[in-house]
Amino acid sequence: MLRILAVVLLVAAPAEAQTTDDTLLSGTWDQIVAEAEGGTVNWFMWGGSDQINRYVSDHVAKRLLADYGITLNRIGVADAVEVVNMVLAEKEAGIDTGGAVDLIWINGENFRSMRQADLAFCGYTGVLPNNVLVNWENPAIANDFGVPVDGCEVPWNTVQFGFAHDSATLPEPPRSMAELLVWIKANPGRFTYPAPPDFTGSAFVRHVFIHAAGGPENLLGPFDQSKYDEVAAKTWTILNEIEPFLWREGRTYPTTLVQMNELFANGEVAFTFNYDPSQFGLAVDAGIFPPDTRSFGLSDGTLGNTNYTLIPFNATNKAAAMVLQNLLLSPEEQLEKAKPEVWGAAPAIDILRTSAEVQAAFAALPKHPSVVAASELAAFALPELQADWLTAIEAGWRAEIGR
Amino acid sequence: MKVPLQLSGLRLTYPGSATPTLDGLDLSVGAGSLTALLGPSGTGKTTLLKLIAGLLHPDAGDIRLGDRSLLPLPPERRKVVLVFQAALLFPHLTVAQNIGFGLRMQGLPTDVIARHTDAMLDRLHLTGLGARRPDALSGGQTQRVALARALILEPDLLLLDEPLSSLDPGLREAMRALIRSLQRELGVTTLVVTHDQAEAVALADSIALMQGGRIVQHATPEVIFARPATLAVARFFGGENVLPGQARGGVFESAIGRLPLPAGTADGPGSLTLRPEAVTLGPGADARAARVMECRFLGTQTRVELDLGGTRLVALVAPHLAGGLAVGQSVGVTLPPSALWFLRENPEAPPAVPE
Amino acid sequence: MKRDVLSALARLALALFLLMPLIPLAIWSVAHGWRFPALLPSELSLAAWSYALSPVSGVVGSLGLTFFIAAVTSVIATALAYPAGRALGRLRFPGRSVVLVLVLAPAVLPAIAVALGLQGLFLRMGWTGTIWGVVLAHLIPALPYPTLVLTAVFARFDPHHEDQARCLGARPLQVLLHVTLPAVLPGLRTGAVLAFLISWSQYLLTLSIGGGKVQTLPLLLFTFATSGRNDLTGAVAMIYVLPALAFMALLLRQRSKTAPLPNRTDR
Repeated sequence: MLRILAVVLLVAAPAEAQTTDDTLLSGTWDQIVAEAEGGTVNWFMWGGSDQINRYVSDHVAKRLLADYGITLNRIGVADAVEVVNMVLAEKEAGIDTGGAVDLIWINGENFRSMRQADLAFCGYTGVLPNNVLVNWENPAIANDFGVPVDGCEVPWNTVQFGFAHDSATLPEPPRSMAELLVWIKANPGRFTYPAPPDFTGSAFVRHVFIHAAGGPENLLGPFDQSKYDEVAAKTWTILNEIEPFLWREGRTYPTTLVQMNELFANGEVAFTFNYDPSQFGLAVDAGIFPPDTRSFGLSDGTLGNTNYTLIPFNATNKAAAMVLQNLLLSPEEQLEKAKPEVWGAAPAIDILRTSAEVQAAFAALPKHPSVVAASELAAFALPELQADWLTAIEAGWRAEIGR
Repeated sequence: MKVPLQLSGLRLTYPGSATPTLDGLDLSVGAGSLTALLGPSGTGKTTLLKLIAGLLHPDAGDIRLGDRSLLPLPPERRKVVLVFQAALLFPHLTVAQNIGFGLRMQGLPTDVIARHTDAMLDRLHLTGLGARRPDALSGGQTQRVALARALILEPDLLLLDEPLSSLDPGLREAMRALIRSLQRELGVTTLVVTHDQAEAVALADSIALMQGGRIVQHATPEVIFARPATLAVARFFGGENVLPGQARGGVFESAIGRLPLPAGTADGPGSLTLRPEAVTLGPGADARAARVMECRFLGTQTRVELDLGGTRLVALVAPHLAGGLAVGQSVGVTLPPSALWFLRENPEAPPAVPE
Repeated sequence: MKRDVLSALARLALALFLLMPLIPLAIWSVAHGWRFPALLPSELSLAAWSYALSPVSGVVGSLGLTFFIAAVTSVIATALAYPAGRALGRLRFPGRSVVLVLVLAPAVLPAIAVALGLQGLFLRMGWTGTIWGVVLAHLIPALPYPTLVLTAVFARFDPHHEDQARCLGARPLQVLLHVTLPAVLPGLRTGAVLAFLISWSQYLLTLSIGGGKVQTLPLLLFTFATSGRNDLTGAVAMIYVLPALAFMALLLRQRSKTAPLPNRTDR
């Protein structure tokens, strides 16, 4: 009986899913909005910040219900990889429709996994009215850690790597990689970084890698083994040189960003860093970081990336998820979450494409004293390397430094 | 109400067992009588009680109490109460609640139960112990509570499994007397299992001796002692004197000579038994000469082992009568004809009934 | 007597052991700006509590859900464990110890193995993302505990008590209600509490079978604990731990009042 049922499902499901997907891809926006009405979106997202949770569950959910009659169900997870595994398990179990996940907050490696396993719903982004606000010409938007987005996800926020320090104890921090390396040797035990493959620690090592290469120019594009070998050798030399001057003489590294944040909060190390500097403001507001925390970007270049929302191939309610994505992309919502008291996340849309009022509102946003201005960071922007470079650098670090 | 118990043709073989535990057992217990079910350990006495109580089902046969068969009835509707060897008081209930348990199961009102329970407490000398927990009782008290818990239901049949075995010797006598008096007073037909023949003799109106899955003899203690049905019965009750021989023309011919037999005994091989306490020592008209082999003082009696023309004979005599006896000495032995009991069984042959 | 003192000491030690980690959590939950080397927070704030108790966080709803799942798991596990424990405790058969080890196996298997094994099956059956699917999954690690407790309890319970009750006029249902259940009640209670706590503390199974839709407290707690929010972690942890402790205390409080088990007599 169950076997028959499973066969029926397997036979029936793709056909049904296909017609629905076709309407979504070729239909008008009004048709999609009409289909989405009354539905529920199960949005799986990292749930570790009460402010982001509050913004989504309170503000976005209310608007989505009021404007479109769609219920938003925010499902907090500790790590987006859990959700990727969930969708993967569904695919392996032959569940090609009616999946548990409608939308994921995602980027980088998790996006690459979903693309490789063919788990993403693709090709629909042009249907979203607010898509015109996105500058797809920008490679940092069109590529998610070097993987082409290809209409499989919609940008939500842009972030750039920032350093935080306590201005009460360290008023004048080093502001370039070269200065930082000197400072580390002059101040033994006051610096560390999370061991790769921690997301943030890995990004720090890439900054050193780009510094060792003398700039990002030669590293963009596909992976090049000979180039890698040359730069990597210099990188490991630098990192080995500073190791004895690190926290606990470099005998051990924090394994997560959370651990490093704790070391910084307790004053054991002088810096922490984050791929999303708005997190510094949130941590100060939550009483975790000292109130005099300030942040900056390295003047010789700071990596940037974009995070996105993605609809799995087997999502139950794709239309409603698309409506939500469109709402998130709207100038009002991009502005709302950019407010420091809400979240302070930098917009993923091109502000210049919005109305004069919205542009003025963005310009007038109060700045959190602890969060470095996006415009300041943008001046030093570095594009992210492609995923193969990341993998090679992480493996190299483990072999050469993290032995 | 006095009701007789009738067991007929009961058979039971435990699964996986080669030999039947009960093998065509018959037994009648008179209305209002107290019968001891006696037998060596492991002969299925407890099994028989469980069968009567309805906790086990026979493969064949019938159990009748009065004019009804108990077999179709579940245990709780048989009006038969089995009191186990371990008193099995319910540990979560007080003494009073234990005694009132059966009435509570019948759904009687609390005040009625309390009245009956109080009466039972008094009757079994447990006054004032009603609120106690079972683990705060002595062995004798525990046994009395178990008895009270059974008697309060006024059963048609009371089954007691080794009721005295867990008591100190000093308490046994008092408990035995209590059981006797209560049984007489209430007139409840009672079957008591025991492996102790002295206890059976002291307690019961009649004794049913069980061997090999059957009742081999059911009679008053006096009859069982003097006229055992088999050599095995004789031996079980301490019958040590067994003379092999031949009955011929009303006379028993054996190694020690000719002995008179009761009238009408048919000719043929067999054995003669004689209770050791029936043997008299000293000169007499019919005395035979024997030699003393051993002489042992047992307290109330002296046990004398004799050699009577090559045959071993045991006598139990009053100590003062054996006072002057010495080992090796010659003594006169009289075997009273009235005490002689002929069995058509040869001691060397395999016993008719396996132990 | 000596046993009473020992068990009281053991209970006190257990209580302290359980309560100790709660103290920093409690302080964290109201701390604002508690940084090394300060011994106490510089400022107190109810922000974490107000977030935890607000509908946005879903903590209160999740508490109810977690309790419901744990209670249902506990009841089903105990009901299944009763006949299993009775059979295992009473019967002496060859290979009994092998069966006991097999019963224990789900409890010692790594949760990740159970979770991965179940997920595919549950997905195909359509049980993922449902409360009942999660209950079913929780039964796997929960069942061994009441089963083992009841096995031990029935091993010490003399079944002749049941025969005795029948002889005293009790019908089978009356025997169960008035004799057997009261005798094994401490075991039932302990087993039920253990099953409840096993379900209460499940993370991986809930995550993989619940598919994120069944958001029990451990899931919420883990999200905050791994994001460095000690204040939120503290508040949610208190909300998570206190009801479980209260429930445990409530159910185990009566243990000392119940009579010891009857000893088994072999006949």
